[in-house]
Formats: sequence, structure tokens, C-alpha cells
Amino acid sequence: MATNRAASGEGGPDRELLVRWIRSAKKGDIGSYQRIYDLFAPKVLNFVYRMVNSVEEAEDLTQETFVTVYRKLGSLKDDTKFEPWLFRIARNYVYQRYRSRPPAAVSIDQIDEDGHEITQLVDERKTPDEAFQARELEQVVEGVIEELPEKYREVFVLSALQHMKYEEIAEVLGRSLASVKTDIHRARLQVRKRVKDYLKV
Amino acid sequence: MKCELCCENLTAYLDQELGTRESEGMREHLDGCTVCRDEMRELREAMLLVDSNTVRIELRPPLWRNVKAQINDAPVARQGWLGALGARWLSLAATGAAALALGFGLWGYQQRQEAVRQQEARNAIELQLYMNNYIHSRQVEEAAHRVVAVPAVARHATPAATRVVHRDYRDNPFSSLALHSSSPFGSALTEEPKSEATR
Repeated sequence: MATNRAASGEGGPDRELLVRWIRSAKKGDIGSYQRIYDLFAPKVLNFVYRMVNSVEEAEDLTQETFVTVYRKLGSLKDDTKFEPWLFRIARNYVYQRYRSRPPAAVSIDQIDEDGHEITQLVDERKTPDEAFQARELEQVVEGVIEELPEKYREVFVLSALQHMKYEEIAEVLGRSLASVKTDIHRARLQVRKRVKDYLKV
Repeated sequence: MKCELCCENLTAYLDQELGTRESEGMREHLDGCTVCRDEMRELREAMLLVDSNTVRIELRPPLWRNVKAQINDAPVARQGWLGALGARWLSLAATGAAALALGFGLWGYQQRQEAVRQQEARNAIELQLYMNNYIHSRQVEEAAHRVVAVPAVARHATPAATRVVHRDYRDNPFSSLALHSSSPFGSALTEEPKSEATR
């Protein structure tokens, strides 16, 4: 009944361990900070990529985010709110850089417009037909997400792809829980409408 | 629960974001409503399809090396054992100490300025006194000179007056002025005053 929140396979340390790493990092322990980085950098990278549609820019902004986070770690009052705080910083960087410039169009090829190969999770058990269909689906899904209005794309990526709690998303965006809940639902309805033809139901 | 409300909450229900009572209400409605149940199933499948076919960018190792290099250039301000609260109090205490030191410095400066003013006042008084003494001395000298210079006065000088003048002039550093030979008091000044009994 639940979405693949639980089935996403997302593991990771429990909250207490994370808080311990954060406290160590606040005292200057680079090793602890690297653990935090390893845990959250892929999420931040993919979130930023969804907003800017460029792997190179996404890497650059992710890097800036984590440097800033380390420098401002002392200002984080509640260590349990680290993730929304981290994403808020990443989001701010995205909007600072791209306020006047719309995100680039997503490439449907395996090489994006910056010349980087789009990494894919290749399932070697698929037949050629299945692989082709999978590739087609990826392109459709990429297009669907990219064409979402920015307001909906944000909440969709954070909820459906990053699996953040609604309360955390509201903190990241600085909006009310009710408005975030409404927009998440509307974003999902738009996505469902676009991929309906590909559903097995 | 009505279908309209159920549909509005479908996404939150699937994401397990509803409260206990709301979730129970949804479950009851879905058990009895095929339309809403199909709606929920379609929504869930769409999300599964998207999640399974989304391109995910992998993290490249150079990213961490760049982050680490920049961090080492400008390390974070460490909280240490004081913690955030302690650091705040410490900065307040440092500000207070600086203000106190400034206050003491200003007070000390004012004290020194006051001491200088007092010394200047004392110097002025001493100078005035000196001037007064000088003027007094000059006045006595001039008075003696007038006495000496007025023969008419000298002729009528009584022995008592003479003795007074004698005493004054003997003690006066300017008495040489009265010892002028033409002075009617000249001989009187050089002689010892006679006692009253000998007159």
C-alpha cells in the first residue's frame, strides 16, 4: 500500500549515529564530515541535477553546498534537522545561480549537453527489447520531470525521488505544511497523467 | 469520508504522511469505494515507474577531494567544550571586559587631566604669591624712598618713627637706598638706636 519509500532500499545510519557524526564534525573532525558527505552528497547531487539539468553544474553546486555546510555547521542549532537545513542551502545555491537563467533542456541522449555521460543503472538481466523499452521509459520519465513547473518539480523531486518527509520539505522550502502537501499531490497527478500510457495497471 | 476528500489525501496516504485517525478514515473509505481504490492504485504504480526509471547521477571521487581541499583552507570555527551557548556567553564576556577596560582607561585619563589642572592651579597661586611679595617688596622700597626723599617729613620725624624706619630698613634688602648721605635719616640708620632712657 505504501509507495516505495520503504522499498527504496535506502539504508543509512540511524538518527543517533548521524547526530554523533554531526557533533564530531562541528568540532573539526573531517572524518565524521566525510561520512556525512558520503551519506547526503548523492541525494543533493541528484536533487540539484533535477533543478539545473546539467551534471557539471550539479557537481559544482553540490561541492559549494558541502563547503558552505561545513563552514556553517556551528550555526545549526538542532542537529536532528540537518537534512532539511542541508537541502535549503543547496536550493539557495540553485536559485542564486539560476535566478536569471532558466535550466537547460534535458538531453535525450546518453551524453548530456556538457559532454558528460549520463550514468545509468544497467540491468544485465534485460533482453535487448527490455533494455530498449527501459531506455525509452527513462527518457519519458526524464522529460516528464523536466517539464513540470518549477514549483511542482521541486516538491516532486524531494518527495518522490528523495523521499523526504513533508515536514522537512516544508522547512527546506520555507512554506507551510498544507501548501506543500497540496503541491505534492498536484505534481504527482501531473506525472501520473503523463506516464499513464506506460502503466501496467 | 467522501470521495473528493479521499482523492485529495491519496498522495499523503501513500506517503504515510497522514495522522492515525485520517489514515483509518481513508482505509475505511477505500475498502468500500472501487473508484478511489483504482485511483490510488494508479497513482502508486506511476510513482513506482518514475522511481524505477529515473536517471541517477553518481558521485565522482574528485568532488570530495575538492570539498576537503577548500575545507582545509578555511576550517570551521570549532565549538570545543564550550558549545554554542558557551561561545555566546564568552563573546558577551569579552565585550563586557573590553567595555570595562575602556571605561577604566577613560577614568584614568580624566584623573591625570585633573591632576594636571590642579598642578597648574597651584603654580598659578605660587606665581601670584611671588608677584604679591615682589610687589609688596617694591612698595616698601618705594615707600621708604618717599620717606627719605621728603626732607620736610624727615625734619618732623620723631625718634619713635625714626626707630621704626630704622628697624624696617635694617631688615629690608633695599635699605641701601635709605643710606644715601643726603638722607636725613642716614646717620640715624647707621647708628644703633639709643634706648629711651638715654634721651
